[in-house]
Amino acid sequence: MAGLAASFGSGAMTNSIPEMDDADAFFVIGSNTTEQHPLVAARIIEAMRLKNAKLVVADPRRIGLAKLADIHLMHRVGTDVALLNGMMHVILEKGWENKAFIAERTENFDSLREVVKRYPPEKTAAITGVDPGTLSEAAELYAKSAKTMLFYAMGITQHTTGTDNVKTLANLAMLTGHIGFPSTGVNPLRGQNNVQGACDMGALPDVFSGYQRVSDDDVIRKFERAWGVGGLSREPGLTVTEILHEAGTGGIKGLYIMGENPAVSDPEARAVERCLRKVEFLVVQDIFMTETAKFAHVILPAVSFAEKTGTFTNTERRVQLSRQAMKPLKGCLDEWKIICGVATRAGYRMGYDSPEEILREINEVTPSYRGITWKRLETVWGIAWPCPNEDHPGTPFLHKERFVRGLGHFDPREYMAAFEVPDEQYPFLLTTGRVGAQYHTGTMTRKIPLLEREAPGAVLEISPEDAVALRVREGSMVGLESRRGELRLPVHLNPDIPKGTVFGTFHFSEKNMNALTICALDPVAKIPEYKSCAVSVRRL
Amino acid sequence: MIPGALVVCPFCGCGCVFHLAVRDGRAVGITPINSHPVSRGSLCIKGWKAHEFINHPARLRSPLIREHGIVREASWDEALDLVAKRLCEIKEKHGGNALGFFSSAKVTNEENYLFMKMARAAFGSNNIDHCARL
Amino acid sequence: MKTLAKEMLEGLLRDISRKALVYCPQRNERGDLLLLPLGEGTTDGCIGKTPISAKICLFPQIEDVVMFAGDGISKVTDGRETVVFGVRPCDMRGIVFMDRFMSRDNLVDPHYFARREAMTCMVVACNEPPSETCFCTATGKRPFLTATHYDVQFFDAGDYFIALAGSKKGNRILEDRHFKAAAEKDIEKVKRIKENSSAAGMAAGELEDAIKKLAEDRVDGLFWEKLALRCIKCGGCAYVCPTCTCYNVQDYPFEFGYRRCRSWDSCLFSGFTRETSGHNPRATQGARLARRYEHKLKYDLMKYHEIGCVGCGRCSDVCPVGLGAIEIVREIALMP
Ligand code: SF4
Ligand code: SF4
Ligand code: SF4
Repeated sequence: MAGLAASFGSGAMTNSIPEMDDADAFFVIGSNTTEQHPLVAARIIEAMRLKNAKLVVADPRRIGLAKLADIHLMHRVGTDVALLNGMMHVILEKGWENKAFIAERTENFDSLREVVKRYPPEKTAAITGVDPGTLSEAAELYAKSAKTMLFYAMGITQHTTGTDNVKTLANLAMLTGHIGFPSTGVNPLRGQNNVQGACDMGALPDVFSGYQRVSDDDVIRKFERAWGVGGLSREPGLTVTEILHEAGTGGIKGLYIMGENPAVSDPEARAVERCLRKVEFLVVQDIFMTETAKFAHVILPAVSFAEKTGTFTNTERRVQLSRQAMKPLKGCLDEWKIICGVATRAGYRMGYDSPEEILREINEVTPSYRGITWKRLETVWGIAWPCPNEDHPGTPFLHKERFVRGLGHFDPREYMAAFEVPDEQYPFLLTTGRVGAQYHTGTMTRKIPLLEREAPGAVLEISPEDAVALRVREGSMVGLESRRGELRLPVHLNPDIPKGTVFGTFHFSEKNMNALTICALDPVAKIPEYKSCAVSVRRL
Repeated sequence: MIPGALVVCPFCGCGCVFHLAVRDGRAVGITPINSHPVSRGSLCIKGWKAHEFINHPARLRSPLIREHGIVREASWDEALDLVAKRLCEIKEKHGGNALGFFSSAKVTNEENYLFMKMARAAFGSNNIDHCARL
Repeated sequence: MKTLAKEMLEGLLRDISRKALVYCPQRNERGDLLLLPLGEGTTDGCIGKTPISAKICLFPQIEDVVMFAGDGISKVTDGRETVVFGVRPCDMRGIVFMDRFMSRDNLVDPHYFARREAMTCMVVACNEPPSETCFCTATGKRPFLTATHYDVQFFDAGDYFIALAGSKKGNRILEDRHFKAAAEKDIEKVKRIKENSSAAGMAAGELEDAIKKLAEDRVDGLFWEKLALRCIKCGGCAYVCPTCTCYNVQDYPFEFGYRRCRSWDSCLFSGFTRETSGHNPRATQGARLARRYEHKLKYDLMKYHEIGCVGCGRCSDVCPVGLGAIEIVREIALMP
């Protein structure tokens, strides 16, 4: 997200899902779309079937979409920057770049040219394992199709080089002019149903709602006035991973967790447990007894999506109204009522009557949400922000005619090897991900028997070649070990995984892959490197 | 209230909206919505089964307080009083920076906004984040 | 034979709802047509095809089947009087199909039949097919019922319905004060409606051709594997289908014991045929997709002398990647 904001001035998905019907080509990288965003994948598949759209997939595994793709770039885990720089090298060499777009709408192009020069196809091939011919075909398809949409997800961001990866994708889109028009763009697919909304609403250490910076005096004054308080802090706060770390060292004494389960979802799960235990006072607000709630001093039972009314913002910035379908279960309370109760008791009165009233306040203090009123949402299928006033139709695609930051900024990045690479002691690369039938830490989906059956327990997926070398068969138990922890689990032979790589999911708390993963953070976005770490696999 | 409504799917970021049917206080079924621009009358395996965890017997049904290692049920008043009191104490003694707030990518915009407002306005802390960075 | 002015429909259903649970296709606030209990939407323009067929009234998405409490075990059945208005002719044929399946090998499914016996079906024949994907005509049927499986069948005569009873239950419904006696001309009208109605979302030749190729085993595994690459494994095609009956049994603990439920399942899920040993007789998605269509268009034909597809087109409506019956049959027909 930080990467996109630096390049374009906004970190969200640039274009909308319905525009996919008119795209000529798709480039999907670091997203197992069929499993994680099934209806976006379906849209790609339909555009291919009905409109003959083309598809390039870049992924170390032969994922579902890769089997349908016109071109599959099977690059090594963690070599995205090299791959993309290599593509740009080809594009510039062949003259496929969009010169007019570069001249009118971007800056710093020369430095991109300099860096990209260092990635000729042979060198790119040596780093990524993608042969020059295939690379060139992919570059041609991406650059020369009239309207190309680029999609990415956690496979791009969950690396120490995540921000570099995103900036490099932005470079590619600007180089070819595939941004700022319908059916183009750089589109990060958000994993959970309201990640976009949580960010938009300022559930971030450095911004209020609408990305208004806490370090900006005017912004502080505005919120002090709107909220009737003085002395709001201008210092950006800590991120999730930093807060957990501080909790471990005693810097954070009180922690209030609403609807999240860091004991499973965070890297180095054991360290997280230690941190949670150390917190002097831990409040967890959730609908189930999560692994995190087990450490809490107070647990507050909230309501599920079905029992509440409110708005959610999906991955394409579409703010939608969700209606209450049933009364809250007895004993449970709406999150907003709980928050009002705590704040008021702490001496800061919050006296809202309804979510509608809260949205009205959001409209007032958040320029990009100003026109997204409750009343409008009652009659339309959502409005995409920015929407500056009530007559504004919303903005399905961003950066039309000019980038939010003015000129698009080329920020070329060099390839850097992953923080931890396989060595003699830990010869395999472990990468983690999700499976379609489960969702995040499984707090909700694992309560649904059919979904549990479709993704039955944690397995370690390995290539048949490696299985032979390790002398294991389907279902054999193996010991999986990294520098941080170990696990025993059965193997599943998957011919779609390259030799030397193993794959596991993080939905299952009893076999938590994040016990092994690494807490090396991307220095800017502070996203943990879930996607790669070195492990050894041992036959038991 | 009339049971059943159009709700946003609680799972991935696609943002499908479906009709959730409710009978006798229980969520009993899902119907996809043809007019929705993302869903267009389809859902994925998770959306189709989203009604099945709502009334799950493992749902938390009362505030719980842990004292000396023992967890007991408490009234809402008692629990909320305790939360406010303890957080205020920590703030008094160590400042707002000693508090952390994890908001959620699963709850509504209104709830996220209020949570961040509470962290900043009521407890003077910018240590607010949510667990799904991307 | 009776007639019912269209503006009287709501009144009729309200009368019935005093004694029974009434389901009727209704519009929600966005204009989508859904099959809901009366009062959960509006009945304006309520004639049409709902995304899920009327099977949901007999075989709900999730239902309790057994309660285990203390040492006691009790079977749960739901025999609430239920009247469903707006059942399409294809839906009714689907129900007849389910009746046979749910009582196969002389094993009667008590949960299904408790509901079935308490259910009254008010069918509305289709003068015009309610959607482009309707293809009952291609299956050799017509968009109205000839055999009296229905309780009441309505024909749309412009501003009023002509109603015929097909059972004792149906006769009782026609006694409601909102009906009027039919006139001579109405008999003629019904005849004309029948003559002119068809639903041809698929060419009959295509379906025949596909059935023939399947019967002769001319559709190979590779064909299915290639198509199945598109499948996102949502289960939708089975859920909406009036003749699909797969379910999964699952237990939920509660304070005093546990509740055994069954909920909709699909043969397109890999776990559906996986045995506890881990062996899966339908190991690939292609094999599972093949199973779905071979079952409907080949094995049912061998067993019951009719195909297991009533031509409602719902699987084509719900499938996000074009793997419904219409598309599959077309692909097979296009094969050499
Ligand atoms: S139904 Fe599936 S694709 Fe749609 S929002 Fe829910 S999880 Fe995502
Ligand atoms: S197979 Fe498809 S068209 Fe045939 S009855 Fe089932 S849902 Fe309808
Ligand atoms: S509806 Fe389509 S995508 Fe879904 S399971 Fe059926 S064939 Fe697969």
